[in-house]
Amino acid sequence: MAFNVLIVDDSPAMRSFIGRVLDLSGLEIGARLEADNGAEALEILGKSCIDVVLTDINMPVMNGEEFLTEVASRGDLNRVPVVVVSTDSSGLRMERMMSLGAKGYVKKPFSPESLREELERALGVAHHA
Amino acid sequence: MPSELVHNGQTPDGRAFDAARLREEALVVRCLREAAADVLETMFFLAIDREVGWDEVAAKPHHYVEMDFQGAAEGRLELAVSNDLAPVLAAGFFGKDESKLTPTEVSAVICELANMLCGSVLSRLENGSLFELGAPQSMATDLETESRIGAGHRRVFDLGYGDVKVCFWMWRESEANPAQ
Repeated sequence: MAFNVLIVDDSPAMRSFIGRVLDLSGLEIGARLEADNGAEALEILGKSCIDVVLTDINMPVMNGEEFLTEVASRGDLNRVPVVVVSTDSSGLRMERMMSLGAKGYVKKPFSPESLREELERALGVAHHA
Repeated sequence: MPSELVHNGQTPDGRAFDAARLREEALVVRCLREAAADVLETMFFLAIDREVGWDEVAAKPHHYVEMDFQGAAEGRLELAVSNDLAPVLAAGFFGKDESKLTPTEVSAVICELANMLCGSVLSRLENGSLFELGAPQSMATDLETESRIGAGHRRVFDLGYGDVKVCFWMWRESEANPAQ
């Protein structure tokens, strides 16, 4: 089964890197959509079939915390797992994001393997080497 | 500072010996080294050849980026990547041939390096605190780079292709801002 992924990050360079790492991860990826911030991501989620979201925290317009809060409050969206991908890997920040509804947390820097593991956990799929 | 060089609580040049500050400096330097090695190897597939003294590297043009952070403490990370190394880093990051990179892509990657380095250092130093990272600001490449770099905790990493200079400042509300 191929998964449709939405990458939310205000840096085009980081979105491109995450896309490349997804390609290397071995996960079967269907559509790969991108958003510049949380507000754009909500628009895309409203009109596309997305299996998992990868989001940064520090973004203009709507940051990752606001985005997670909005997703959790909306019955039409809260079944889509959101995985945070951030340079901020302090214990307190991770706890905060998980309490807001994140289903996983990938610390930058990250390897393709660690991204894959976190995505598999969030999607509830088993690893097949 | 070896204890034999401390006399009546003062260093040979007359400054007060502050063991706590020295320990903190050693911790910051260790975190900078670990974070730099981790970020460069994992995200750019490059290893640090060696660490060199600040004055040992030849003066040459660098891509310069600075970013501020706020939270339990305030501070700034300044990064300068030599022009010979910058495209190598960008090529590793994008998985592209160096000749196909645009200047915008190279600048964006140096900003990402600063962002990841800053987050990685702070997560090591202050794991129980929350920080807000500002957006990295890229400056035009010129020979001002040397004078731009501040007097915080400085390290220079030689990657073979060129060098990465990092300067990290952090201060708490109770302390004077060393950047002023």
